[in-house]
Amino acid sequence: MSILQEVVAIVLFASGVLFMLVGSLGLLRLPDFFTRTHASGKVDSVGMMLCLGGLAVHEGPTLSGVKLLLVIAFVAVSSPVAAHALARAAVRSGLRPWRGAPDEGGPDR
Amino acid sequence: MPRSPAPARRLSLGLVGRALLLMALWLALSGLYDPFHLGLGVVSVACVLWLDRRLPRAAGASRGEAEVHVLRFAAYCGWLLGQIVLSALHVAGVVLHPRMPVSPRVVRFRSDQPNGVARMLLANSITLTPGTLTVEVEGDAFTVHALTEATARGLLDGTMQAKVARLFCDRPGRAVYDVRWEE
Repeated sequence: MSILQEVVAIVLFASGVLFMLVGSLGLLRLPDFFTRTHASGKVDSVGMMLCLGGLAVHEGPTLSGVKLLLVIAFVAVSSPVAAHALARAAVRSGLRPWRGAPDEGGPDR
Repeated sequence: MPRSPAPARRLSLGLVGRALLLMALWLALSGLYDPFHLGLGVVSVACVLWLDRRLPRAAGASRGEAEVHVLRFAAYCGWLLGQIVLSALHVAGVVLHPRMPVSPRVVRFRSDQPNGVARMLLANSITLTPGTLTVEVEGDAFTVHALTEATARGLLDGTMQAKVARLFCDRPGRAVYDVRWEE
């Protein structure tokens, strides 16, 4: 295994972990369900894709590497569908989006 | 609807082509190449093809409608991948910003798309682009939740809607019309 391959894998995995951390932080900080869905549906899924990409680079062109790429494609397709399904279910059950005052800079919780 | 004759660029795999594609997927996932497991693969592929024949009728769409321009689709996937990364960076920036500048808006618009696959693709693409989330799709009406008004306006310029429509037909209809902001 070449050093370059290892470095790329580590960088991808580390940035993936960073994105997932920010996604979790967003889940805590953002004011309502819909904005939190933005955080979990996008930041988390990119984080997961980066982690899996790092693993795929680490694995190299093997059967497991191909499987990891397939998993990445699956995450890319399924995560927006999941986010949309959650948001639609929320709207249909009568949840209204938060409309805060922008100048206050945050929700009062 | 008049369709341009461009059969060479459209993805139209025959039965054999789809069987080979599925078998390749089976081989990649299985990793066991003895006669028993290969036989299981052949049976599975046959089952999937049989189910697939029933699907378009169940969804109420004809097969020819959903054919996609392969090259345009590949280019679109590349563009979308970039959008996904931008989207994650955008939301991450909002989350990490000390004052967290969110003022969510909900906007409703209509977009002429050639078929259901295009509408599905557009709805998913909206969710993947920076700061916007598809909440509801009813016919050709899309309801979108945006983190800020600016991100919603970025969506309403119709670039993505036209891109998606052009994957399936050469003369798409109106990209965005009947825009309504929800209070």
